[in-house]
Amino acid sequence: MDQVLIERALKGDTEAFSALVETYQRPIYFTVLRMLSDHEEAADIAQQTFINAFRSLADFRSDASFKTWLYQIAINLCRNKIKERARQPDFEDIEEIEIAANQKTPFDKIDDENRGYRVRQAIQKLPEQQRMTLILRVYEEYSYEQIASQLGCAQETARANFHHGIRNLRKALGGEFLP
Amino acid sequence: MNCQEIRDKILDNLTGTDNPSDPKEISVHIASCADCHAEDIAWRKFSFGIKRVKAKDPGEAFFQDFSARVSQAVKLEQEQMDLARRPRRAARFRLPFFSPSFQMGMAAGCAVLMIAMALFFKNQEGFWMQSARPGETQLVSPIASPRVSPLKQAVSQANLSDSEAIAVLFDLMDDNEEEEISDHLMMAEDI
Repeated sequence: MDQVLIERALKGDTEAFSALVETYQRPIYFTVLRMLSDHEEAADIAQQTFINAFRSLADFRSDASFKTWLYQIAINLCRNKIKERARQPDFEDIEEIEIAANQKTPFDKIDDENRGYRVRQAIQKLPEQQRMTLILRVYEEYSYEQIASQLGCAQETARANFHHGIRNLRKALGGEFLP
Repeated sequence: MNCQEIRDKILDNLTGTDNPSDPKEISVHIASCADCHAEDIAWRKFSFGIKRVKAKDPGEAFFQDFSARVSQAVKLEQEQMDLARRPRRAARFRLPFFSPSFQMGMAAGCAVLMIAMALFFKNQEGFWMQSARPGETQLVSPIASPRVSPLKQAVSQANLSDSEAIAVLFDLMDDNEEEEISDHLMMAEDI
């Protein structure tokens, strides 16, 4: 189905590409949101993901999954954004304020005793590679092989990053979710 | 496998994504080792707990707006790509020979070339001015000219060849004149 839409889009049918956007906008947005933990940035990055995908649609190899290819673009954009954040020394403070403000919204009050907020915050504090690996493995259910391919590292590195990431997360959350 | 290896395997199998290479050995170990069994349960609960945490849903309106914005951006991209693909006849005629900048460049280049050639040939002997070294005819003619006119007349009347005419000329000259011509020729050699 994707392949038919891609071929139509390559012939200049923008409606066909819009159908692909409809299909993948949610998973792409939510993955980017988990990685960046900022709605505005996630919306921008998700939009840029689709625009970049359209621009380089001719480079897409039909033997690969379109979803995987989209994730690859989104992950690269997220990594660039994280690097950009690192160059802004005050970003951490801004993020903290935003998170603190968000904590007081009605949504958070009903968010399972605020566990969601604590988990999201703890995930954000993980090192970049561990965070991305953990998100892809836990929420997107990627194999180590797929993670290695997406992040451009060895499978063993992906495995080690996941082990470190999930152990660090468990340590950060203390007794949360534990029997 | 020891306990540490089993605990690593528990983490690998947590999401159920990768098939464990040796599931029987792991399950046998967990069943027989209380610590590893407790660790397996703890990790499963933890994994279930964090997986249950959903990202905040921005709502259906956001996605409708998102989709519309992306579609608009994609249409613009498509228009730009179509424009880039279209052959531009006007532009083809404008480049390169008809462009004002190209013509100006050519004019400037020609001017520079002409100046360079003028400077080069200025120093070349005999181009801008007569050669400083006079030819043999020039050297001989002042002495020989008084006799050339009658000689020409004699040659035309006697139907003589050039060499015969020159021989006649030398016969007509006296010794002083021949010596003077030889001096002139030697001076020319020195120059």
